Amino acid sequence: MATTPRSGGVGGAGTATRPNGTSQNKSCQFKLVLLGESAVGKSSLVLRFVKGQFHEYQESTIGAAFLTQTICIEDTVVKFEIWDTAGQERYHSLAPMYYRGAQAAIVVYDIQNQDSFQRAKTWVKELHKQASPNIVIALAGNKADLSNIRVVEFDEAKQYAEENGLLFMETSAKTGMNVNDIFLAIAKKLPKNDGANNQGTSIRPNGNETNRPTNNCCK
Amino acid sequence: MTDEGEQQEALVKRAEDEREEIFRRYELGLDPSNVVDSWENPTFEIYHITDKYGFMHDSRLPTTRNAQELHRNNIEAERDKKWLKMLGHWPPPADKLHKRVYKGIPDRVRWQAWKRLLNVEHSIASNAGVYARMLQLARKYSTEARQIDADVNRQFRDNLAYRERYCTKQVSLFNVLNAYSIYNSELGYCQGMACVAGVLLLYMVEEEEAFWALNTLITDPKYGMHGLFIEGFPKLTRFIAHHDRIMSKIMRKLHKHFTKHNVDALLYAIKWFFVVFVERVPFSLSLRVWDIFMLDGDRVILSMAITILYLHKDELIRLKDMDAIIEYLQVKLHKNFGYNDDDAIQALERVMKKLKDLKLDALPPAKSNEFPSRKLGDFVEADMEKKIGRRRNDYTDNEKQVITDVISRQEQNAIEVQSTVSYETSECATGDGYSMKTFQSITSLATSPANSSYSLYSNGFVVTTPESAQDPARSQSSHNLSYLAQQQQQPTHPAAAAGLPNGHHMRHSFSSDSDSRNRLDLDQALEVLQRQQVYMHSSKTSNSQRVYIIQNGGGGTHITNKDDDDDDALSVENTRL
Repeated sequence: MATTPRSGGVGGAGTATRPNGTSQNKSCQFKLVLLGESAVGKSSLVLRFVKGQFHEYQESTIGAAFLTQTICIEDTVVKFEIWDTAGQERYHSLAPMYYRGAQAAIVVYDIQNQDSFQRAKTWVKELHKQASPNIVIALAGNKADLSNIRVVEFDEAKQYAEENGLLFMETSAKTGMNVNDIFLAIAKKLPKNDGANNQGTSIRPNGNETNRPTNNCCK
Repeated sequence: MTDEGEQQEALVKRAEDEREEIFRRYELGLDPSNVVDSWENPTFEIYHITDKYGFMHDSRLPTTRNAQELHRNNIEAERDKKWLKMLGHWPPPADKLHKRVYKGIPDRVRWQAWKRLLNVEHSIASNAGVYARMLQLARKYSTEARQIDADVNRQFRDNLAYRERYCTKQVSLFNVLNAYSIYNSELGYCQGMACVAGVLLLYMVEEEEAFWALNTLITDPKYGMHGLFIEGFPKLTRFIAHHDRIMSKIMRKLHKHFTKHNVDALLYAIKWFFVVFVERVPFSLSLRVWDIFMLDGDRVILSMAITILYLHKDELIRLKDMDAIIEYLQVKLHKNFGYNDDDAIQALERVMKKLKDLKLDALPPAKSNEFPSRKLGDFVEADMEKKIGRRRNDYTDNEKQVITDVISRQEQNAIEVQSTVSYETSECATGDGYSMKTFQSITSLATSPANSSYSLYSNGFVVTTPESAQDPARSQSSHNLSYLAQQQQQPTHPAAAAGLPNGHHMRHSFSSDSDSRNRLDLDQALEVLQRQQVYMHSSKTSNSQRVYIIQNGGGGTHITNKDDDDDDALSVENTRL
């Protein structure tokens, strides 16, 4: 799959090969899920991160979508398995299927929409209660290109994120602002050694974790 | 001066002004003040890139038609006439209608035909004034307006009809969906409905017609989309479980491949089922599927899913990771299906027949919650939670049920593959990982009595399953799970299967038999029985199975080299384009 990262910020992204071919490079694979209210830009963030594109009229996600992207940080190749979920309340019941066993989550809201911020908080609560205890959660205030008509203040969200131990960034899938950065920040925060990485995953989303040895990081 | 003279003078003046204006424009030439309509410029691409359905493409479409296309147009013109005649003498004989619908309803009469198939005129006549009233109520009370607005804003925006924000079609779509959310207040609005209504509205002018067509698709048990879209998605889980069952019987290799790569049917089938393949296969093909769906109802959906996977199984098996498989199913097939519409529909027809012959077309019966329980059209004001759009913190029983259903199905699949693979190769030999946690959780699942809670999540997420004991799928799954428990205790002794309770042997021969490569395939067995053939098989080489088929009718002995997977049971021709 051709994946051209938009900015050069993440060197070597888009390819699973190890940049210098040395055997010291570790490789990790993480399951990441995107949650948040409908039409806040979850699919757009993924599309920007994975393909460097932006569609003004991204079709609504029915059920869920799945994509992957690989980035390099320091000597580690990190592959994200990204589960992009449907935002409508009706699809809420399917969400556990996607965040089960996830090592990371991005909870997205729209900075123009107070309600979506409240829903983001509800998602965070649910993740804290139901997801893997060590899950890394990032909060993304999307549509930051429209900050002149914002409703959710940056400081308010930042404070909430700090109180709840979340990474926080305002992003714009449209301009690309902070999109790679938020994924990179998550990758940095994820444990990249054997012991830390495989706890919390009891069964893979579809059950057969044994076929995915890469799940145990850093071979 | 006479009136006539005045008139003449005015006409002369107008002609002079006109000449003056035209010359002025040419004198201005390329001056920026010389504003022209966009369609006057060669850069105006829309008409070059828009197909006959109004969808805009990335690049220009061919301007000339090839011979094949001309031929198709001529055929369609002939069919137009036949259809118009048939529509004038409705209802036609069933076999004639069947034949013509499967050939494809000509685009020019599609809406008239759909209207007939969905009984739209009758619905309108017997519900005079209802649509207008629902629309009025929606204006005042709709709690779905925000979600519908968000979806209308992105539905078919690459189609000329829906392209401009707040254009007529967008307004109609918004109205129909809001009115419907009031009419069927139990269902409200679910994402996916915008696409269904969006297709209907592409073909009709009257909102009221689209409204009743949508209602028939949703509430008529023949189509039963209510059960797909309602909270907890009961019909979705029922259909996906059956889809898996079909896969495990007639496309075992692909099923195993998908399970191995974590491609759960939920990932691709939600969209397929909810919008009947729109935006997942080329639009022209999805219309052909819609034609047949309107004639034959929801069984078409399952058959089409199998047809797609069948036609592409070789490519799919070649793809070795999950994202490539998903990309193929979600993106590639929409852009280029690889088969022309007629071939794909012929394959569909054969698959439908095959599933019927194998008695796989009969689904488990619908649960009562798949149908509306409230009287349609009775206005119920939403509760406060809904009005302010607050999210519930807890899952309802219906929602818990979907979680349970999906997880137990996924685990069952995983176990099938797991038990197969662990004997087959060293590919996943680490057994340990899978292992204890899974083992414990499924043991608790298997041994949990009805009406009890059990933990599916390592972190203590608890799901209650009131119906677990009655649900055949569950008990089947539990049975498999307890089987695994036995297997884990005696991992080197596959013959343990022999000691299992009766009634599930066939199943076990699926999930645990790869140790013995002489397996008796149910699909093969059915296939052979069905053709009244006697067969026996001998030992064979690693990947293929040599099957000697002796035809009953006294014909010669045919020796067929059967693949591990008896997909060819479907005998669909792979006519590549």
